[in-house]
Amino acid sequence: MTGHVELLSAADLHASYGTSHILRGVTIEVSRGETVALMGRNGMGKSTLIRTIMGLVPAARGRVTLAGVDATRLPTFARSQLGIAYVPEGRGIFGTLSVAENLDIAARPGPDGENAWTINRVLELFPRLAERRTNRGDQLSGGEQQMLAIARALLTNPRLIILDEATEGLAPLIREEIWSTIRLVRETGLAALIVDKSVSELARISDRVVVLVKGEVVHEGPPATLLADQALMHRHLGV
Amino acid sequence: MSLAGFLAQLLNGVQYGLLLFLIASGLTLIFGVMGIINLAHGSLFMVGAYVAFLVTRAVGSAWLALPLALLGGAAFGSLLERGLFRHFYRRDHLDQVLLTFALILLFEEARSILVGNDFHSVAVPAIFDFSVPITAGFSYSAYRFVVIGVCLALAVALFFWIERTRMGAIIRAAAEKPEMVDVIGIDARRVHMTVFAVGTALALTAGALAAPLYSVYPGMGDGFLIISFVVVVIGGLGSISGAFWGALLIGLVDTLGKAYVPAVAGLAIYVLMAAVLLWRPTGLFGQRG
Ligand SMILES: Nc1ncnc2c1ncn2[C@@H]1O[C@H](COP(=O)(O)OP(=O)(O)O)[C@@H](O)[C@H]1O
Ligand SMILES: [Mg+2]
Repeated sequence: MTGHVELLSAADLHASYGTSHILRGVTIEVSRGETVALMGRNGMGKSTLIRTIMGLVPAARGRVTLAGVDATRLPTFARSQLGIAYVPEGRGIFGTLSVAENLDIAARPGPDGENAWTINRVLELFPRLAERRTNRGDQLSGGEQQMLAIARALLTNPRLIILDEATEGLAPLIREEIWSTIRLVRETGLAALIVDKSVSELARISDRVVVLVKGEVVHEGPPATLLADQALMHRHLGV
Repeated sequence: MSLAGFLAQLLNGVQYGLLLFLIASGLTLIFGVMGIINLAHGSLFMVGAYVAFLVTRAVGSAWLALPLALLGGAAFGSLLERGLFRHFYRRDHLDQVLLTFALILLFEEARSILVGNDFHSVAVPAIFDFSVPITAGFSYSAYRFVVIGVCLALAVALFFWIERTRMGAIIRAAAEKPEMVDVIGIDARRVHMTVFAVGTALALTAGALAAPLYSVYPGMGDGFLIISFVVVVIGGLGSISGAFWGALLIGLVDTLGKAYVPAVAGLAIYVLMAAVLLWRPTGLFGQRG
């Protein structure tokens, strides 16, 4: 058991885009070493929740605590420096930079000074990136870009990694490769908050699932409970 | 016209182009990373020129103006960014235009109060006040060679910094996806301040180098600003290599045009700009789409 040291705690978060109220009081927690799956159909506010946690969307109300620090008013880079890595939907790699530069500008020791992930180590994890070091980011395939995005996130030596649709739009084989990497990374003790379309993969990997509907948490618990509840699965996840 | 005369014009064109590059590179870099079109960039060039004038008046030679413009420019740029520009990145373009236009008026007013409205020539530093013999019938100003050399050295340093260093990679990343630079834990405010400091230092240095060639006078930044815009547009907004080739092209076309077809030379660079934009709407080195 990892204990209940909270790395991420968002309490009663509200956020809007203009006049559309998207998050309506979301409370979510991720503890040290824990893997939490964030589920819900398209447009339910999963990405908005993550972006609010990262400070990319302003919180209209509520509180974000990261590694014990009140981060509600902190700029995004300071949240990253508290040990929160974020791999966005669409990957967010720098297409005009080489693979090596993408990695180099992200690399730094973690918030406790630990330096478990080095450029060499992520290149061992993703040998394909090693072959593509001198290529520009926009010359990579979708799968390679996703690997680069994950590698870049790991190089910040985070305590928690947030993955938003990391397997979106990838071929099944590549998708499998990404999942096995996520499992491997998880085994190092890194906490994770994961959004993905694949309910079965998420159920297999996560300690806990949180289901979001129209900006509100409607279900929370161990994956087995969710899988056993056919009605819930059908109504909120469409499976 | 003689071959010697043509060579002299060619060198003048290169020298003018390289000077334009120092101004245009800062303009394009600041636009590329912060999205602000700094109309007061020409005024910064003017400040550099007046620094050279004042230094010459005080110590008799413009020499000292060069390090002063470079280092003082960087410090001044940092202050401007911190105190003013930083608060305008998220504002709309009209606010940004008003800010930078107001700065032009402020700089002109300050110039008027501090040094007056007269036209002043600035002496070429004595050690470079001679001509270098090239061939039997042709010699060329040593000071212009110095200007070419300093500009080239700064251009090489700038390219190296942008293309080969970690800070340069961060700057390119910030121009592409500013949000993701923050996401990986880099304080974008430091990046913005650095970019602004370098752009300002280059503009002041260009002014200090230019003073002995073009004299100093009220509003001298305006013409250089407009031509630098033409350079930036031809090269492609945000592109440093574009600014380099664009500046050389404009420098040569303008100089050779004025020497050989003075009747239409004033229009030549604008026709060139229109032609480039028709052929490549995003400029020579601009990103497509
Ligand atoms: N930048 C934006 N501006 C306005 N509305 C947005 C923006 N991004 C997302 N939305 C809206 O917010 C809602 C939640 O979107 P999102 O958080 O992306 O959902 P999910 O990630 O669960 O698919 C959707 O209705 C979407 O249309
Ligand atoms: Mg989403």
